[in-house]
Amino acid sequence: MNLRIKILIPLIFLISTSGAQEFHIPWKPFTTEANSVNRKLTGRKYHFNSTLKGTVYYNNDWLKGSIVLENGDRHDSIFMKYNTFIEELIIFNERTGAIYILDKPDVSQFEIGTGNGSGKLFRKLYFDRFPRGERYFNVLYPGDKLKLLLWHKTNEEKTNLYRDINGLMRDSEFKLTLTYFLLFPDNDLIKIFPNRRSFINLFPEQKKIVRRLLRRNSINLKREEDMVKAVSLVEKELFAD
Amino acid sequence: MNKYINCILLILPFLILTCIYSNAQEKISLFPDRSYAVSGDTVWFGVVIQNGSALESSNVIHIQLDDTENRHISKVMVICNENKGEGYIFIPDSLSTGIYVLKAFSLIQKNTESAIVNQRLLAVYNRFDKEILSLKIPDKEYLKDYESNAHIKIETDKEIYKKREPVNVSVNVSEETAGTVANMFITAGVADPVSEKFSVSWIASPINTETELPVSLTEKNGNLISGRVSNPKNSTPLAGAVVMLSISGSSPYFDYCITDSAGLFYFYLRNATGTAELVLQAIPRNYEEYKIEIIENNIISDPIPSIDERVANKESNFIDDFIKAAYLNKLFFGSKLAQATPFSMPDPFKYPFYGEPTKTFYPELFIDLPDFQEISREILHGVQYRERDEEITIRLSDQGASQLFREEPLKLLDGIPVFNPRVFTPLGTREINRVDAVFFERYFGDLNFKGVLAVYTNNRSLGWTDSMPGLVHMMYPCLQPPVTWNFNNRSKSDSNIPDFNQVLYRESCESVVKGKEFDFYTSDFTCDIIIRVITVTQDHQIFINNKTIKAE
Repeated sequence: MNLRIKILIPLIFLISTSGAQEFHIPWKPFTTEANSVNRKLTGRKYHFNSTLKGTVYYNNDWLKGSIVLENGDRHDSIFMKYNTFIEELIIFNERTGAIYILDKPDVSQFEIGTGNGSGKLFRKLYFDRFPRGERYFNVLYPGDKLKLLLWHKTNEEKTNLYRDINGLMRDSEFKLTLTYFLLFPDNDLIKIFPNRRSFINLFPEQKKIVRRLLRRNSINLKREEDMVKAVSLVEKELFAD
Repeated sequence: MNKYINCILLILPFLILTCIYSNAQEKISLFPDRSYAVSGDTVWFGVVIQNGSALESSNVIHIQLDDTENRHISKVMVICNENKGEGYIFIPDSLSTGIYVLKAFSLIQKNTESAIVNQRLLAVYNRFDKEILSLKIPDKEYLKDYESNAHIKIETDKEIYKKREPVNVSVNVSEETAGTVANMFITAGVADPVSEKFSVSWIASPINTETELPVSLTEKNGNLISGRVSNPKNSTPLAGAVVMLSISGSSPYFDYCITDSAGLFYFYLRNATGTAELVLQAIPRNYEEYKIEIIENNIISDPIPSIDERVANKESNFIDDFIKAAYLNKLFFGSKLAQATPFSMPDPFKYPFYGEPTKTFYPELFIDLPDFQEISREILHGVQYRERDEEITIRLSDQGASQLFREEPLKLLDGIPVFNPRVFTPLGTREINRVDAVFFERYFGDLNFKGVLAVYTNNRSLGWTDSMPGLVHMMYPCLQPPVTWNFNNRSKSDSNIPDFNQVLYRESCESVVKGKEFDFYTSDFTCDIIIRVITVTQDHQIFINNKTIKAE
């Protein structure tokens, strides 16, 4: 078939169906697979097109994961990507082929990559300092009293001039910043730096105990695993009932 | 050794099956506060779920009133807390005299083979009947009586009372028994000689259903609405149709379901109490005509064989007295019609189902504009309303793609999807309260909307839905709101106002103590009064203890 005809047929089809009130793509009829007693996932169409260097995604490939909504409803095996630039969860609906931004006010938490047991849990929390608002935090340590959280945020930063994939001159790129927070039982969210002094200073009245804990367990807090271990030990030592 | 292994292997499947069976089986017991009623009365009841584990069992119980031949009369749904619930059911004013059946079941029982329904009998006397000479009484062979517990004693300060005199009651439960009782209900009321024959009896029956549910669901704080979409001409089921359920409101409820090969659809309304004003509409695959029918989630039990029995003179006189008392009650206290309870359904989400509006307009803040065309031109920026060749089109701005959508948006009037834009045409600034517009392509499950235009009117009448073909607009009773179940007949200060209460005391006990004391006043009836203590033990045994006193 001539290439022009190949292009024209879908175009004619598109033009002929436009205008009417359709709730779906005409060539993808609805199936009963979407039927559920759960609240449906809602969102708006995802428009993001940037040719800057770097990535805006926590996961560049679509990964399956689960989503828990504010009413407790759980949706499993959903293809998702987390855009750390706009801080929104992007959903790919296999049945309809739609890609959309999940409504943040509806989401309580989500887990990316639940299939192989290496799921990363993100929980929505209200951040009352700058930039104020609801954000997703990666839960590194989900203790009952203390939680170690990691905020993934991609920013656009100035860099040397370069040509993007379209050959246009660019002077900025995407850069990911990682910020650690400790969530206390009174919902106080405190920023922490990955070093011993910063960590010890979080507990001004129990500095000695914390210092001893870190020393005895040979924790230097340079790595993420060390931070998780430190928070876990402090929770057991200082926040046990 | 091999013998033992063989034995274990033989027994193990039975044990596993028994465990699964006992977990899956929910037994529900119903305890009405009386065994008779005059048409137009309200019968209160308590329900207990047994055998169900707290996590897996339903907490919504359906109470259905049928006649002995399974003709359905009415139904309510109540929520149980910690496997116990209370509620009430109206006896229709026009119900004819006869013996009726109250059935208690959960929806999961409908889909469980071998589930047994607990049925209690209720004698109903039509308030317009003059002389009742005979009644069809269920055959005693089918009745099972609840036993009494020898360790529970009901004592009163005397045996014979005058009218409007206080009755002091003490219920003594032995220490050993008190520790085993899980639930206790206490009732006291005027005894009806006819219905007293079956007041502590129940009838077991397997649950039969006319229609299979489209989904197997354990109802927890919610209720299932199911139905069928078919072609009105030949009744063939329409598969693949999008059925939309909407409930009007300032934050409207919306959900959809795709019909299966049998044309069946279902919705689950969570925490919905009271009577909902539902609107159901469908978009069949080929846009053909359609008909929506709601499937009542009722059950059918085995018919109860009845024997025509002559009503003795003494019994007939009692029934006459009840009917007259009902008439006087209506005369003095007014008619209590079964009213629709206000609808409530808390929404845990911050925004309506169409998300955060990009813009919200309040037309009443502007000058008076006569119709929607004028409003869209002057006020609704980003909304294009056009009338051309008798055809109306509405298009919204697409902020995601910085252009106008080529297709119609989702249009809502008071939260109900509208497919004919003409409905908006006559609306002026005086009629419209608020307009929400979403200038993005929206997704709701698999549905896709090219923007959303939600118009909320001041009077919120859904009268316009009646002219829409196929659309179903109905009042649907959801869960019964929690009620104050306990009742105590107190002394009436005005002796000129009659007291014809038939139920004198009703209590659902929070805890079981060894010695419980309470009092109530007798009414103006000269009759026997029965004090009844219903106990449900932790090992699921049910006992009913009675004590009869006289009021002269």
